[in-house]
Amino acid sequence: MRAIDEWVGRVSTLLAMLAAVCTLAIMVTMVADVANRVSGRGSISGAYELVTMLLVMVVFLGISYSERTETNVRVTLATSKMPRAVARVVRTFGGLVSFVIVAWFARTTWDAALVSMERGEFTQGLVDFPVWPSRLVIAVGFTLLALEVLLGTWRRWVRAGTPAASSRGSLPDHASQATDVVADGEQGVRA
Amino acid sequence: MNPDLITAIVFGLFFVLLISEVPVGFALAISGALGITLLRDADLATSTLGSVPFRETSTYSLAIIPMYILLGMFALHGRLAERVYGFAARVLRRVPGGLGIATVGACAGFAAVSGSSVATAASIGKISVHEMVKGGYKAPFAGGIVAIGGTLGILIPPSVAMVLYGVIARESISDLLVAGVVPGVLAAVAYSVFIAVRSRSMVVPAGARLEDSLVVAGGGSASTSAATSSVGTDAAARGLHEAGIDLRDLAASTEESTSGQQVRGVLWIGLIFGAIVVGMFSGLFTVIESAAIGAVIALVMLVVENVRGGVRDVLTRGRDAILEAASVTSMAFALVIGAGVLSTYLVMARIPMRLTEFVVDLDLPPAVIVVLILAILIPLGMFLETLSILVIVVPLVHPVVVELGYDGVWFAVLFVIMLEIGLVTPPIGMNTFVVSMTSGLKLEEVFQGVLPFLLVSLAVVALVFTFPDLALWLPGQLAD
Repeated sequence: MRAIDEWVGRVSTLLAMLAAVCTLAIMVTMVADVANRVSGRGSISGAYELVTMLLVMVVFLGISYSERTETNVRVTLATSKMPRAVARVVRTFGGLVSFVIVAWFARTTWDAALVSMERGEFTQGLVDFPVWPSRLVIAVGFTLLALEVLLGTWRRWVRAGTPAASSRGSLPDHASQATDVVADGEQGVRA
Repeated sequence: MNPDLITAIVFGLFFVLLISEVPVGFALAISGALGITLLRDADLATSTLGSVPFRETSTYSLAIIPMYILLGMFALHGRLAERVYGFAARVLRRVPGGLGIATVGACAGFAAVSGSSVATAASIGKISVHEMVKGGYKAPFAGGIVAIGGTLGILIPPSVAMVLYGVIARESISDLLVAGVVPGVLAAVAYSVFIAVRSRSMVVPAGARLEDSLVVAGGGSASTSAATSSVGTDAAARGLHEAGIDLRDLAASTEESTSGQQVRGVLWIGLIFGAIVVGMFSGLFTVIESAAIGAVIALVMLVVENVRGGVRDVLTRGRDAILEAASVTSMAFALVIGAGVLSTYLVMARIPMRLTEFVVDLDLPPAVIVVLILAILIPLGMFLETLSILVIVVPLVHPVVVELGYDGVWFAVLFVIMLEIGLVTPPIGMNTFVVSMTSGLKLEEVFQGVLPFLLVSLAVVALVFTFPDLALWLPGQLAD
């Protein structure tokens, strides 16, 4: 299980890096479009459509990494007040329900992506831009997100079962480490 | 099944899912999908889940969100916050309450390049609280100043919250961003005046008795950080992480900056904010493009200001900023997609229309209804974070307020100021947790220190409520 977890984590990080590159590409495309317009050569044709496609890519290439790093907004007020054993069960229930909705998203977006690919769907504007790559990325993003949700639920279950976890409450690993670093930093020690 | 009963089930389920730590975006989607299934059938719910992700993300104007987030991340990793604070502290040191006013000024300045309140409070808080405590400020007062100053991040443009409001309510994003300027500056001035007045009793003057100084400084000792509740620590860690901030960076970012670096920091902020303002007012480029131009300037700043630390340092900072921007963007859009599914159900069940009819038929003056809606945001802010409240509440209340005859942009400004208040109210006052965690102050001290500032915030709400032109004058200039 740990090997699968590491492998999925690597894929999520790789996709997030691609998302980061797409974010930069949006920035560069917009600035180039402005520069072209200001210099009197008019808008770059296809810039509008390219930015729209890149935005979809940024969101869905980064979505599994966002779950892996626990960036998604959660309310921990209730579980942090519960007895540890109860909180462990409640969190696992929440994780499984999350998996169901994300898997549902994945299944239905795969259907949409396959239909789009079969039809060769494209946008109708100044430049005809293919839509199917965006739809494919959405489906891939949700599939990997479903795996991350499942693995995250497993990690939280295991973590809550170890004695060290009880002293840390519900802090995710990275947050606990970060807290330690700040606490050390207060005393002039860098971890 | 009766739509009212289905709606009760949908919101009941949503509440249960929130308690179970289901991410808010997923909880919104599950509740919406169940509502559609019960109201119509599972096939329609499946079709909605298949179409919403593409529909809610493939919109050109939404590219402003990753650009603002990217801009904020470059500013954060480029160590702009500490330099602006250093400048403000140097200039205002001799003014009564100068360090406190400098903190609010630096928060307002950093807010002008960062769309996040948590990022603002975290970056300014780490350095300014210790400076203020060293300068004789009582610890709760110092913590309260940073917590309230940080809230300016979501009001002064660029503001991700304002953009999301515009997306959900279908209001002009440019108008909303511009509308936040005057109330944001007004709030900053009001906090500064309050600090200057209170500094007489809350700051131990130079040459005071040693015991007094020790009592004051005691609030900032490292040992007090252990007293921060686990709930607060957890929430703060999550809040920082959701804002894309690594605490390791904050721990390492307390080195002194030179006066040259401080002046350049202010110039960079002026340049970035100037680009955004030019985009809004000149018509040379759109407000969406101005976000990208701002991000480019911030990237240049990150390179120029950190190149002395070596190319490797610059590359690491740049890579972290972009990666975190991508991650936070996905998080923000997960909320938008979840809200899109729930909104589809709400529209199918005609909930906003029926709510509007119900409220309009109430035998209450419209102003009272708006006040009641705004008042509901305070308890909501105690349990939910900013963007979540926005995606849940705006689709329900915005149509009501517009139907009552009020300006949607004016209401958006009031709404966001109330969200700001939620950021510093217990038990989920995210900014207070973040200040407590990054400064080492006790959580209860920060809450105690921020309470008097809430009265100032409410006074600003009352002013904008009474004089709508405070919010609407600048967007009017934009139209001209």
